[in-house]
Amino acid sequence: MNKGFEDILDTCLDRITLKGDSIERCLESYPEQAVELEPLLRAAISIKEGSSIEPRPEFRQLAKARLLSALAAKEEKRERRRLPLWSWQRRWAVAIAVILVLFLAGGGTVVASSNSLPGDLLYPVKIATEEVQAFFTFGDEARANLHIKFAERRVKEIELLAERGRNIPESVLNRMHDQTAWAIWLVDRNESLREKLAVKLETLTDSQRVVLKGVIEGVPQKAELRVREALERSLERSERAYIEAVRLRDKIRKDRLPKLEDLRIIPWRNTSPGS
Amino acid sequence: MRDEENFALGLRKRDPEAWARLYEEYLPRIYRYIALRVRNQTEAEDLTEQVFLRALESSPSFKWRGAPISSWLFRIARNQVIDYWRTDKSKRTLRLNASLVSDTIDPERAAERNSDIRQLIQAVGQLTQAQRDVIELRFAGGLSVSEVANILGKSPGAVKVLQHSALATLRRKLSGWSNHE
Repeated sequence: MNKGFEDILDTCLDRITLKGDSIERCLESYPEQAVELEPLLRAAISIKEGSSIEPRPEFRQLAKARLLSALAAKEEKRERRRLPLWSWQRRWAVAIAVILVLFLAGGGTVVASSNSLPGDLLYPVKIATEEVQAFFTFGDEARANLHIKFAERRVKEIELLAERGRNIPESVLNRMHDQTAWAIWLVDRNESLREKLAVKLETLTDSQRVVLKGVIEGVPQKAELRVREALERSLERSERAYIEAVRLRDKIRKDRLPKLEDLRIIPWRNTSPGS
Repeated sequence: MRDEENFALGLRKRDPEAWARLYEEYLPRIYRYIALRVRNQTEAEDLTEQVFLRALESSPSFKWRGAPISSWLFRIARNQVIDYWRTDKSKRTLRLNASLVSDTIDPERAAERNSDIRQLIQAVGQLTQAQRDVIELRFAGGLSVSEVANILGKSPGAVKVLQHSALATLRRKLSGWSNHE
């Protein structure tokens, strides 16, 4: 009897959670077990809904690019895949949207938005303008430089928000880390970029750590736990990014070290007085 | 079944299309499963990424023996989480208040969601380890009973028994909370 019930419960769970059936229809199928089934099915739905935590879209894009890049590296394919930083559809949509904004609001709005901070009315214009700029930027070096520049802007914004005692939204912290991670990823996969940008990345990530530490120290004790935790998480990410940047810089040093097979053997000359 | 076999073959050959498909199909589910277990967005993102990179590392030795690909991937995820807790015991005291949903769109809604998730994590935390495994894989991971059985090395019957007892306990805990509100 009990074993039968467990099978019925499982069938109903599959119908509801995987096939989109309703609790009522399941109960109709099993009227004798309905009283025992219903609360369990409702609990299952609560759990299913409670656990539907979606990953951030920025994380999804970045993780996918890294995975495909690792795959390409594994296969030792010489020709580099040109991975879209954003899906083309989205990039076009953003470009068109911003061009419309420019057209409707005029160039002055964009210029005015450049000094805006998160939470300001014009800040979304600033971010959208950056997205368009990224859309029209091609080549690893130009893109890496742009991501570094945007990440530096975020650091500055965080600093200014803290100075003015304003709230630092988690979205700004996430954006800064995503832009840094893109830059690191681009520099890591392109040897020639390391020489040019590794030190810049190290400086960027170091400044992030310093600024975030300062911000955390300045957060009042009574501040919400949520705010403090977001900043601490952000600092952890900056520390990791800094380690990555240092690793990239060290890679250059290693590359510069002469390899054993490249060393010219200089014949030993006997300079003793008797020779 | 044939499709699953071809899919597995593509993964083994490191075919980019197969890997992109694996990523699209499984990333949200793996992420949800891990996020519930580590209770921290940053850590969940890192671990999720590592699961796929680890799968890539081990793919040449992956042999399809009829078990779904999900079992292989979730087994890696489960081990990854076990290692995570084992290597740094200080994380055991990790904040249960950590937020798993960012405040990017609607801070109030995010706070509400984080509160629901915390409640769920607390309730699931009171189950036995075996019951927890079943609930997390089944509902956060979106796996079937036979897939869960495969991952945990148990019979489907045993998983159904655990599922039943876990749901009965959670029903009491969750209704207890909603009564307190």
